[in-house]
Amino acid sequence: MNEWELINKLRLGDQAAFKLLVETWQDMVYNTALGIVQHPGDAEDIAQETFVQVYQSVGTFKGEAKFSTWLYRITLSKAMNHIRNAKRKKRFAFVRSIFGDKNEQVIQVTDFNHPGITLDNKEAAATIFKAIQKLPDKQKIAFTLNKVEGLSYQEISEIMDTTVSSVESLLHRAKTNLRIWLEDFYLEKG
Amino acid sequence: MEEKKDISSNIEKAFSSLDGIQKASPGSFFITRVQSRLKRENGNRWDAVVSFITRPVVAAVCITGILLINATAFYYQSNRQKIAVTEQTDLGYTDEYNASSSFYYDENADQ
Repeated sequence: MNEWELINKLRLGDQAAFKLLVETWQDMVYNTALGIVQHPGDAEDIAQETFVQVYQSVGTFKGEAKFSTWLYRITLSKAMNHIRNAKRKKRFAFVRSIFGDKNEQVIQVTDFNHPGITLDNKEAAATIFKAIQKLPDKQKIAFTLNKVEGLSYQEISEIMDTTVSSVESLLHRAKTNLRIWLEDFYLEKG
Repeated sequence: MEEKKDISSNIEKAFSSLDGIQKASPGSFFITRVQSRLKRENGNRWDAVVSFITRPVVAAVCITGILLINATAFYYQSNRQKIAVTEQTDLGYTDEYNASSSFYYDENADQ
């Protein structure tokens, strides 16, 4: 079944087509979400939400971009919203702690170990993932899509709706920022 | 110097740790969980309405709106009462001294 046949069947509410869609794209959606939010439970939640939204709004897909591009955009938007909500909750927890409510659980950032990393690289990868969290949104997306999802500059530019040279610039700035952060980190570590 | 070399080798190691990264997969029976979520979200339209209404922001806006309507109503009501009292006072004065009617009849008594 080609992409358009699948989309047309989805528009008719075909459950078998939906199952095929999920099975085909689940790794891509989950891996992208995991690279951004760096938490397996949250990434699964985002992946589920993404497929539900695809099912509900497949009628609005006009085919101007590739289906995979559309899927990436939904996933990234949901992942970024998730991060923004988590930051808002963290700020609110901080305000509550100022007013003396000491019973609340403040979110603890733990080291993230990506399951696709080889054992001997685990520690170094956990450090760079910690640094990725500090990047501005666009740099974080571009770097994750390139390094974790393995996409080309062209594919990233289509997803981010920008030019290839902008992607190159985003990646260059991301690498510079990561280098600065990592340098500070290793200096402090001694 | 040695420390700087170590740091830069650690940085390079951190960057290269992402080379050849394998794609992660969600847990088993992912499709089942997606389907049950889809069923839940499609079936409970009323739940969505209730959860929207019970959002703190929505509740706060509603309460503020109700209070504003009450305040406006109270303001207009008290203004109207004031006008009514003034009119009543004027009429009372006229009645008490039989001013308007007597003047009218007095003026038209010859006709």
